[in-house]
Amino acid sequence: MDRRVKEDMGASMALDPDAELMLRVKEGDEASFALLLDKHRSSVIHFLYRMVQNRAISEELAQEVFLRVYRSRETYEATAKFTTWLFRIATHTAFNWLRDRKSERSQESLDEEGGHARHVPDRSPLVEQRMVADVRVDEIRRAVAALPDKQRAAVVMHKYEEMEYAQIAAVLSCSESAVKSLLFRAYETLRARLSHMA
Amino acid sequence: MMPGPTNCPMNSQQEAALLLDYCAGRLEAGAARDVERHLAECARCTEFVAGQQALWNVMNSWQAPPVSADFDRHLDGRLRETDSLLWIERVTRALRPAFARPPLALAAVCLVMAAGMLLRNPRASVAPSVDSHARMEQIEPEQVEKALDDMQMLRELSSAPSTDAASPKTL
Repeated sequence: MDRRVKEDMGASMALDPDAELMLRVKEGDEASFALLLDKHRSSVIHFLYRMVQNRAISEELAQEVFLRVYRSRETYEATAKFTTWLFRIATHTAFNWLRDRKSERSQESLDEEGGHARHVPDRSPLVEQRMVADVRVDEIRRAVAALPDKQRAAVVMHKYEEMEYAQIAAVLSCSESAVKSLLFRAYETLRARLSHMA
Repeated sequence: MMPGPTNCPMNSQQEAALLLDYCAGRLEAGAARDVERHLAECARCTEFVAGQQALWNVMNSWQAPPVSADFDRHLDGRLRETDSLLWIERVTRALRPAFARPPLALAAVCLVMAAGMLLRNPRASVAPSVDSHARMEQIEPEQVEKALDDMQMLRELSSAPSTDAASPKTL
């Protein structure tokens, strides 16, 4: 079936301006690194936040990601789109953290961030609205957190980072059809868990 | 091309991705029209699209928090640390071939250990000092003399019992 998606991956790879910036970083141009950081800081932190669901940890991991990018500058080769390489580092960093913390109190981090609104004694309508919104967000977070790591990464990249199947496949080192299957199953699970909120 | 139940995207997970692209607004106008024609006659896909759009509306309410104001400052500090560590790494890498040969490495270790021992106890040395030699030279004749006196005394003592034993006979 004809996909005809808007972005042509191959064409964008050939003229990837971020890869050009990274090649300048390789030559010692620190200003280019600042430009890359400025451009991708938010998306990397937000991706990591939705993966680990803790603000402080997501920022700590994002620092690790940018440090790795900087340390790898001397060996960098523009063989793939820069964002693919960047998100591959970010995904591995998140997977490693999730693996290390799997046996620990992962639920606690959810409660830490989502629970603050529940203790507000004020019963004004605005506060109640906020509490309802917090409960909704908390449910979404729990539903996403319950997905297997790879499905979660695929959903976050597809839904929130608006990445194409081919790029998600490159980040996760799997085929495009595997990504489509991952997404289909993940969205199916989320639809079932969150249908009462729609 | 697509309309008709036989070409239904819901027949496979791979083809259902087309519906996801439609929901996300990522399809070109022509492809989107094809999907809409199909949706008009396929209840299953219509249900899927409605469910997916509802899910994404729900998911839109999950916003990531803003980035901390001091994120860049922290990163900058760590980048500077990295730079200095890289400098040390370069120096160590440059010196590594010299220490790669076992005899050289062993000699270096021995040298460091010997230096360490000397620094810890600088008075300790393998050769005896001049003072201790002189003291030995002073003590030795006295010891010999004392030993000879002791021998003389023992000889006298050993001869004494025979005179004592003889005395009762004389009594």
